[in-house]
Amino acid sequence: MKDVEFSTEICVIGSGAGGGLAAGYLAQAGHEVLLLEEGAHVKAEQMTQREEQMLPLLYRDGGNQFSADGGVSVLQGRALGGSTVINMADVVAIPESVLDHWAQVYGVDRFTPEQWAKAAGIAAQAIGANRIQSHEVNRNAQLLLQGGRALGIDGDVFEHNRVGCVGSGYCLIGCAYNAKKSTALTWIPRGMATGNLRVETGARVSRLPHQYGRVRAVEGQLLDKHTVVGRFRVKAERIILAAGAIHSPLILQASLLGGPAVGQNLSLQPQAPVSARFPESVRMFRGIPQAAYLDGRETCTPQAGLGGFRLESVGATPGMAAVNGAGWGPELLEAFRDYGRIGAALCLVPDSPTGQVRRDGFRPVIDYPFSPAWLERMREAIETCARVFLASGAEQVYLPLAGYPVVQGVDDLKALQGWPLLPASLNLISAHPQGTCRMGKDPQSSVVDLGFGVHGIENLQVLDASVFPSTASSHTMLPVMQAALLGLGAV
Amino acid sequence: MEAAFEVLLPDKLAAPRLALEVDRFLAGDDPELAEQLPMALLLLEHSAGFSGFHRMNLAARRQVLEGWESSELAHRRQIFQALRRTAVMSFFASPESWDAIGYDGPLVGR
Ligand SMILES: Cc1cc2nc3c(=O)[nH]c(=O)nc-3n(C[C@H](O)[C@H](O)[C@H](O)COP(=O)(O)OP(=O)(O)OC[C@H]3O[C@@H](n4cnc5c(N)ncnc54)[C@H](O)[C@@H]3O)c2cc1C
Ligand code: SF4
Repeated sequence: MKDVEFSTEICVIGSGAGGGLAAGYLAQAGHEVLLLEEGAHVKAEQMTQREEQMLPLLYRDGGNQFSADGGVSVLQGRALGGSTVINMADVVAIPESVLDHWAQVYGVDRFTPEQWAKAAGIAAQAIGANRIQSHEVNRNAQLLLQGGRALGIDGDVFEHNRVGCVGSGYCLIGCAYNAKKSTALTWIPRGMATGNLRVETGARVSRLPHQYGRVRAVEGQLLDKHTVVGRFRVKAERIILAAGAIHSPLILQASLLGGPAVGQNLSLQPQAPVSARFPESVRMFRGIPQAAYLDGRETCTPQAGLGGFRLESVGATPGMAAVNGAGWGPELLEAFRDYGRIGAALCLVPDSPTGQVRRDGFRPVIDYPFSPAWLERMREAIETCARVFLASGAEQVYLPLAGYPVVQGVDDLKALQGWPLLPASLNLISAHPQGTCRMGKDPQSSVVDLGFGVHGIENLQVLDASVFPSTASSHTMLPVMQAALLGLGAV
Repeated sequence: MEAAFEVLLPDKLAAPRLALEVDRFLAGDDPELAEQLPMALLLLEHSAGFSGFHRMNLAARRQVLEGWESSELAHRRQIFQALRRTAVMSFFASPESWDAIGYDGPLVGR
């Protein structure tokens, strides 16, 4: 067992959208920074495009993190760059109505919409955001847009942070071409180039001992893959916690910090996958895997924040496609015989913060009950998605419901109305957990103040997806970066 | 594991190989996670009465799993999904399955 001590001016915990940005930004501003990341630094040369090899290297629990009742597969990155290494690179800022909603309902009003917009601009530029070009839109995405047009549902192609993308289709298991501009390729190396940033990977923070309103140290374990090989202790003047919406509250709970609201108010923003077989070649596994969306049924108001639903094209490698469908046994092979003709989309249905994260040793327990109103919106989203695919010429549509028969026409969707939508029967994925260290003025109902500092602690900020009072946007990478820049005083 | 895999896998002939691979993978990885699947299998084995799941014929095993898939008991559905996911991921992630589905595999190293 090694025992290591570090000392630094600023210690950043977690290297994803929030932590990677914070570490790079502060180092560039001349501060001495130590960045601690639990996962490994996986370089482009190590990205083999093989699912069984990359999932354990890049994902939390190898992609097997679930809510407690098995209802939602909660995907998160666990590597240098965090979830920005395995995400779909869609760049979407926080809509102004959501900012109004936060100000009206949660009293989160310190920063103006102009400041949030300015932060979005800085972050977007730093990660190379640009619009997907029409020649980069793969057949799968075209079919979604085509079906949307037929049904009068608006849509568009995404802005993304890919530069030099060769359209391999492997975004979800790591880019082998350094084209997806994760924080590990942008903010972090820029910070390191100044000589002010030191990065420790395989460093899992477990506790923040504190006294008299100040965090005194950052403590944790050194890991070799999953085996503990040592311990560390960091002395720092200022600490930035950015371990993501599941693990930041866990670290605070273990340290008896954050008050009664810590871990509460979890949004998972679950998405349900619908796939379809077309009479033509689709090859959803090639090209930019998520290039287009239909947002004609999404709503966003200052009263309610984000609502309705949206549909987004999605391409997946065979294992992930099979896992996220509902099929099994020889019938699944039959359906997959035409893998090249299969297209897919995700039904993204914004939720309200109904879940919580609890602690069981070092492991999080994620409680996430579905609200009945949300389930009905999900039902409508699934049905709409199936109709879109049928309108764009699909021969068969596969719903994410265990046991639901193959859909061959709109009549087959009738059974959906009474179909029970139960945990571990309705297939759901979360890529956007948020809200567990909610921002607000009241220490009883929120964890961080309007400057992102943990209530009552003078040297600890949270700068990640856990601070949002409610779902920030249909995608959370840029929103986290906006928040982090505001928290750092960059705007 | 093999008994469940024979039913869940798209091609039952792959069951012995993949069950072994998953076993090896579980043993070498995160110890806390590694406990979960064997636990699920144990529950499945003993749910089937005195003789045990692994002794049942293929059709009977399929029936048991279908029952768990649509069970009213939440934990049965959860276990079913954990097994289904493991089975189909191990099957389709492995290059042996790719020819049959027309997936041309990784682009790196070509
Ligand atoms: C599959 C997938 C696809 C996505 N697609 C998109 C998309 O297209 N567009 C978009 O905007 N958003 C997308 N997202 C979401 C977006 O990537 C995340 O919301 C964002 O990265 C969250 O930032 P974060 O800083 O809160 O956490 P993360 O980026 O998840 O980073 C947290 C980091 O903290 C580390 N950590 C955790 N615990 C500890 C500990 N105890 N000690 C040390 N380190 C620790 C983790 O290993 C991780 O690296 C996607 C997410 C996923 C999973
Ligand atoms: S599609 Fe583009 S960004 Fe995604 S992995 Fe391939 S080259 Fe990288």
